[in-house]
Amino acid sequence: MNQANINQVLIVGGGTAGWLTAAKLAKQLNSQDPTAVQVTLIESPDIPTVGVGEGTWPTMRKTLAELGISESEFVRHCNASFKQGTQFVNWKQAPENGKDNDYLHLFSSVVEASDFNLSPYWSLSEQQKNFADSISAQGALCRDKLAPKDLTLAEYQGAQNYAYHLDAAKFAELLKSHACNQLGVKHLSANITAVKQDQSGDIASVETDSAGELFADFFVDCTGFKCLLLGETLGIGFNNIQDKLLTDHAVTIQVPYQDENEPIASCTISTAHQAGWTWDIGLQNRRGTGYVYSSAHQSHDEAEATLRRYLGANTDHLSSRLIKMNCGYREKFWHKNCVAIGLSAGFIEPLEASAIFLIEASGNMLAELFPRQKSAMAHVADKFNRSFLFRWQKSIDFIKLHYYLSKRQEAFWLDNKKPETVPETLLNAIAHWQHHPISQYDFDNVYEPFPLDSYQYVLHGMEFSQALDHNRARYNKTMQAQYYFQRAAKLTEQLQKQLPSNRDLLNKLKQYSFQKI
Amino acid sequence: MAKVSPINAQAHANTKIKQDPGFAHSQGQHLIPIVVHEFAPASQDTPIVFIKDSETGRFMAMSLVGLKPGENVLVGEQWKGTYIPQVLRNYPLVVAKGKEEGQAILCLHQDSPLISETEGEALFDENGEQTQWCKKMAEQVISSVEQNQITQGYVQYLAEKQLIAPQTLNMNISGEQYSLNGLYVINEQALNDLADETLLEMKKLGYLMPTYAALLSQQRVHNLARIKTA
Ligand SMILES: Cc1cc2nc3c(=O)[nH]c(=O)nc-3n(C[C@H](O)[C@H](O)[C@H](O)COP(=O)(O)OP(=O)(O)OC[C@H]3O[C@@H](n4cnc5c(N)ncnc54)[C@H](O)[C@@H]3O)c2cc1C
Repeated sequence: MNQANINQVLIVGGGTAGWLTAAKLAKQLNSQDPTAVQVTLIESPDIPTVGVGEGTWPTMRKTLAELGISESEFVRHCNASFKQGTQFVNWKQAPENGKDNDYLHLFSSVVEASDFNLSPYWSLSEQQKNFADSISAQGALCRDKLAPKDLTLAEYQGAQNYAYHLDAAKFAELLKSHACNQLGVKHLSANITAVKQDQSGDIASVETDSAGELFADFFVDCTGFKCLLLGETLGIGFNNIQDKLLTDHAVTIQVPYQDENEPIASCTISTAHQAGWTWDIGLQNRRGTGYVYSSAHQSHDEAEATLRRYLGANTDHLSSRLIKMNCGYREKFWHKNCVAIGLSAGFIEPLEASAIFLIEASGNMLAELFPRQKSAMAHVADKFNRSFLFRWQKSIDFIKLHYYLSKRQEAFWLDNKKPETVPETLLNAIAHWQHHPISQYDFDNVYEPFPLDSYQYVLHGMEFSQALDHNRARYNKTMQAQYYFQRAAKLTEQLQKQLPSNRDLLNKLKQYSFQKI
Repeated sequence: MAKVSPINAQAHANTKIKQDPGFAHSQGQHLIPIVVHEFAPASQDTPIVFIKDSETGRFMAMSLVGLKPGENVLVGEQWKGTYIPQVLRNYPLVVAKGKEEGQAILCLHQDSPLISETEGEALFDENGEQTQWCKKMAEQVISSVEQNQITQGYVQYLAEKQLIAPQTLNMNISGEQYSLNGLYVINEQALNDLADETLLEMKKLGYLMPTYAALLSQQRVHNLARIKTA
């Protein structure tokens, strides 16, 4: 039995996780060849997908390009728009005298921090401009609601690094059609009524209400929060992180544009409120908005009122949806012949859009290391589990950093800063960073989900006080630093002139397409 | 923005079009649009390159006539090339699309210095009929429009097959450094690596000759440098 080959993969669940994983596996394992691993996806016709998840990371460009999807078609089909980072409004502190405060976490810097770290030079030289604007052109582009590219750049290439905002349902639909028509994925629609295990405890088959009993050698659990295979069947426990990150619900509202030429933001706007924060994501045809909050600190009714207040007038007629968030991650992601990807593996409040990129990373690693023999499974499972345990924990650290540095005084915010809620790894790092710039050696694990640059945008954006004066002598490459600061300023000016608005470029893409070259 | 207006017998009863053998109106343009039918003769003088239209992202075929933006080394008292691109010869006449599908209207660049009341070829005769010259020009301009469409198809084909690749043109002429960005040229390697079926398809479509002409024309930068320094 142990020498048995793994030929058939059954993916259970047809949300973003299921379809991304199916497409990646089929593409990288070449499932169109009948002697290669065969991929089947089953989804329930009755259980809806979670229906949110509209912010992505720049990794999505590589994912789409590798799958052979045209960027222009993707943008058209998914009502997608270009995202260049996240603007954090009122995270530093509550608005004072009605005046908001904000900072940006951007995708591009003039020089990568691992090549030349501008952070200490910025801290020591008392620049006129904030950190983000000193080292990147992208903040200005976000404020002006400009696109990161124009039609003369080839598909997936940008004048600045970028990701997308997308309609989750449309995205799953596009992936489905591409996976089934181009990549050789088979698709079934039925409800799973029972999961059967063999004597070794492996999953042997799933029974369905309308597609019979389905056997496979390997199962991917993409059943969302339910975690039908890995959790309910195989009994893998769940590490709840409610004691670290306090939000547990989201209320969402989709907001149509007032008129068809209303500008489209080219970054996600995340605004802090009394007991949580709102996301505001501009697609082509509507905004997707939601309020992520702690029900221990605010009632559902007050939460919905908070979101509606944020949205302003003219939204009373728009319906809202309440989502209960199960925040945490599985004790293991891969057990026996089953791996969980997506919400079934875990979920952290969606502040930095980390969910979809962890799905991409899971799909990549699974495809790359895919065991063709059962005997190879344990080894790969172990690698996978260690890698993703690390990634989830570091993602929690990074999200927590946003809260830990806040000076807001409401109960939710103060509770979020209590030392017992903060992972020790983060406390240690922050203590170190008070007197040292962040170093690439703080991020020497290849599985690090968020890069050094991301931490710096947040630290300096939140006005973290970093005292480097005692070590000034060490940072003596001031000429070079000055050169980069000037380059950022020049690039800002140049790109502001050159780039079209997000809306204009998206309108043009309805008619024209990016070239492949 | 250049103003164009339809020609008509009343407004242009006395309008004449002068000839300018130096094509001075193209001064300041380092790229002149050409159609695929012109690749063979144009490739004798200048590099044939491709650029993207920033409004549409589409590739366009161009004759490169200068070594830096805004420079045209071929204008002068006489055009300094052996071949004069059609778009220059058509000027100041152009065709605009009419309201109905397929309708073409002959128009005039209003601000052209070639327009005169006294000198040159008349557009209309004393009976208000188009002159022979005008009819001939109209035919030529309309046929350019068709050739443009054919060129669009051809260039898009090159792009899809990735037979063109971005190329920065760097030159050092008499100690001065020149650099031109945003240009694409035929990629010799990609052309050599073409699958047999594609090669056959290109042959049938008549795409091989212009493609090789464009490839060879890359050498003509030296021609531009020579004219420039002459
Ligand atoms: C409020 C909120 C905001 C978010 N924002 C972001 C964001 O900005 N960026 C980001 O990256 N991520 C975000 N996420 C996360 C993101 O939405 C998910 O990671 C992503 O949608 C993947 O979901 P999924 O495919 O795992 O699960 P789901 O979409 O829930 O899909 C589950 C699938 O399993 C199927 N299924 C379940 N049970 C059965 C059964 N018995 N038989 C057959 N089929 C079954 C269902 O039919 C469905 O197809 C957000 C999540 C929430 C809750």
